[in-house]
Amino acid sequence: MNEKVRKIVIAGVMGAISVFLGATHLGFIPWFAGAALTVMHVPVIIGAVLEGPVVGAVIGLIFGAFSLIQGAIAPTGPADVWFVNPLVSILPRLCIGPVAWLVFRAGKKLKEGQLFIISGFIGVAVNVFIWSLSQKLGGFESDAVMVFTVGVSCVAAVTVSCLLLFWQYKKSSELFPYAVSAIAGSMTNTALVLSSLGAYKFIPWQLIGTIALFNGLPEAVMAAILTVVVVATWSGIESKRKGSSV
Amino acid sequence: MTARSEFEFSVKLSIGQFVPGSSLLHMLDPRVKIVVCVMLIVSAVLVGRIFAVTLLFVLVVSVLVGTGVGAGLAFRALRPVAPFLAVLAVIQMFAIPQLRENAVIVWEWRFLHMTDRSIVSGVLLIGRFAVIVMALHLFSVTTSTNQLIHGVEQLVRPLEKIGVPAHELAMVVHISLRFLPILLFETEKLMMAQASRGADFGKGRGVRRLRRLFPLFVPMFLISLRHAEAIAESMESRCYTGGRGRTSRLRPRLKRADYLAIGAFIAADGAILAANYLFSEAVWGSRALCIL
Amino acid sequence: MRNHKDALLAIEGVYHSYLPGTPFERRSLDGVDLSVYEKETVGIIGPSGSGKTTLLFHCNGLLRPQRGTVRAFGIPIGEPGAELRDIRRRVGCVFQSPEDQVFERYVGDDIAFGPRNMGLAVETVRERVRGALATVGYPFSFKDRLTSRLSLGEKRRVAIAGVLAMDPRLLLLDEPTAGLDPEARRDLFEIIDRFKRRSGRAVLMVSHRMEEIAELSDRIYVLVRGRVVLQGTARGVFSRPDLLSENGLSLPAPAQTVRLLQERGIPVRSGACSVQEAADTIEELFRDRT
Ligand SMILES: Nc1ncnc2c1ncn2[C@@H]1O[C@H](COP(=O)(O)OP(=O)(O)OP(=O)(O)O)[C@@H](O)[C@H]1O
Ligand SMILES: [Mg+2]
Repeated sequence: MNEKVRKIVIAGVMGAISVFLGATHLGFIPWFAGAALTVMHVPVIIGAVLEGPVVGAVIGLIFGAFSLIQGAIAPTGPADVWFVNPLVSILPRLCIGPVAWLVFRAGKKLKEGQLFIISGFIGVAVNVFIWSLSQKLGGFESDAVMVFTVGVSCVAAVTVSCLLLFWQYKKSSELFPYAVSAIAGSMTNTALVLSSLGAYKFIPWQLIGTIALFNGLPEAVMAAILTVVVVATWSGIESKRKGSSV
Repeated sequence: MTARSEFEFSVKLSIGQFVPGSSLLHMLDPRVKIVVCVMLIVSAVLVGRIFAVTLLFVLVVSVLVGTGVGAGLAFRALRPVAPFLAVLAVIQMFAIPQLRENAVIVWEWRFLHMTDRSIVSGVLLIGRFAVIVMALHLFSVTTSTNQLIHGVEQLVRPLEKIGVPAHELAMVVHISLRFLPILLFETEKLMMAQASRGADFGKGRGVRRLRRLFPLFVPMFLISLRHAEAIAESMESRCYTGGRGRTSRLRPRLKRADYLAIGAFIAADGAILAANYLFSEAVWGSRALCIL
Repeated sequence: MRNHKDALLAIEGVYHSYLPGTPFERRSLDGVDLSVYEKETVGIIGPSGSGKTTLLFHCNGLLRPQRGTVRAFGIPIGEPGAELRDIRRRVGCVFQSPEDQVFERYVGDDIAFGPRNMGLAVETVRERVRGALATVGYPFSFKDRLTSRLSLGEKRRVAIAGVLAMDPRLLLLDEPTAGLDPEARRDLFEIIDRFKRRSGRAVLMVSHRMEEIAELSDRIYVLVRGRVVLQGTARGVFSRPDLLSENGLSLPAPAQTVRLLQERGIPVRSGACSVQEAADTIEELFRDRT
């Protein structure tokens, strides 16, 4: 099949899913304390790992443009209105796809164990970055204990999600790069959106670390699981767990 | 009484849609409108002074009034956003700690405070968003999706020389918009099938909700990928191979009105931006009022 | 005449429009009355777009009546706060295209979707899956097949099994035999027949194939442009070929054959709907001669 035509169509279709999830609010899962998790970035990640960085960026552009327009025309909460600013809505989303793809490419060359470690590192790096940024700019002494706690919980979360996938697709190492790249893509989204919100002083920096932790991590885990299940079924990658669970 | 089924999304997707009409804005070339809309958004993000934002606001309103669309429409556009904007502005004015550093404190009570910086920041927030909302609205109401796609394609075409795939980008947007109704229909069917086997989409939160939604999301992606393959095949069987060398049936040329409109707008917008940067602390007192 | 109160499903004066209040508004049901009683199979026939699927969706609360009432097992559907989950548990619906209904990765998980939503224990779920698979003629090991690799007919059986696993009282079938080979169709008739014989059960089924509607149904409704234009027993309905052909519907092949023979001046008795009956009436003819 013609490579280019397929790329165009997949970008269009995945973009439509992202818009659909946002417009119908199906893509928002009520979490705790009034917050919501989103899966609107998952089409971006899936498009990127299947078809490359350009497709990922284009889907990200559609996702971002849509959240801009939604914030302006039909917001459903104060948080939607923040996204009217293109530096909050569009720029971060442009980066999700390329990052996910880069990590995916790197991941394919590595072994399972290395991937575990790397995914852990990405999680820690991104979150410690946000956290320390928030501490610094919030005018607080950076709290070593706090950074340590956050780091540990990041590693824990990422490892748990990998183990979950591991358990579900026993020894199907083919799938690990997808999981890790989804985690990376999702965290790119969290990190960049939150830092731009912080830079615009929409949210105090002190809160941002907490949001990254309590929203960003579950979102990453969710994105990883969804991406892996979809890609595994679509590309016919067999898991070792053959058969239904009844 | 009309009891609406929980699976009918169609209604939710029809906000901010094209309304056919005969105003001057409807007649303008879509490229002109895209440029105006994008410039308005960018300017709104860039300006950092209250007076500049106010001028931008006046500019949008006068575009609406001057072209016969009417300002009523614009204010109607602001209505759904207004309550949220108000909440945000209040938070911005009273509760952001960074805005009390190096600032003149006007009023203070416990953790609440009002400073000169926070007032400016709150007003800017309202102004910026109002301008962007109205710009997007005036664009979406007067431009059909077809016009939008053609406009984008023609605008980015010069960039093809440096490797930006303009035609392909327009095609992606086109496919997205065409695929949305299909996706809607497929998802409705999926949800109905699952609901008739006892799934309950309305309730729950957190992990419980996720476990309800996963069996919906996964087939949604797979159905879409399957559709994508079918669409690609049918495009190829009709000998579509991408942009190069394709000719467009419609090759509209800019009319005089278009040039006049864009010229006038660029002049006004440029003047506002220039004013924003040129008038410095000398005019506005010694305090730097601009925040980002 | 049966008491109206005993109906498992009672639909009265239901109206429905798609996309109400928009320029695309489209009336799909125009005052439909229908009832289904215990131990019977009710068939619905009608041309494409006549509202058959829309009507079925009203029977388990997937659509709420915009006007009129729908009662299933005495519970009114459509009133705010109606316990729809309870109704959907008792009214199982097999959709027109099985692709829409089979969505899990493995057959077993898909069939278990309903029972799991009912909150049954793991053991019970397994038994339900085993039973449902057996009913549609598959061994238990079929549960480990990938749903994406099934043929259309296999998928349809899995879809039916998925509904049967919830142990419904009323079974709604939307063109259940489309895409099945003759043998599979026979098997399905068996399943339907066995299902409706059990106490407190009934089947409501839509089909384009007049033969199978004639053979299976105890009563038939003819739906045209959202209205019931004809109803009654198979014999009664198919004795009105004029009204049927007016609406783009045909007679079952056996009845058609009998009619053609009559038109050629052969004195066959009319009223045959199934192949068996047609054979009987034609045989009568020869028996008279000898
Ligand atoms: N989701 C929908 N939105 C708008 N109109 C619809 C929708 N579904 C069905 N319709 C319209 O409602 C009418 C009745 O449709 P329905 O699916 O009930 O017909 P049907 O009798 O089942 O047809 P078929 O035999 O082809 O399955 C049709 O004219 C159809 O175009
Ligand atoms: Mg139908």
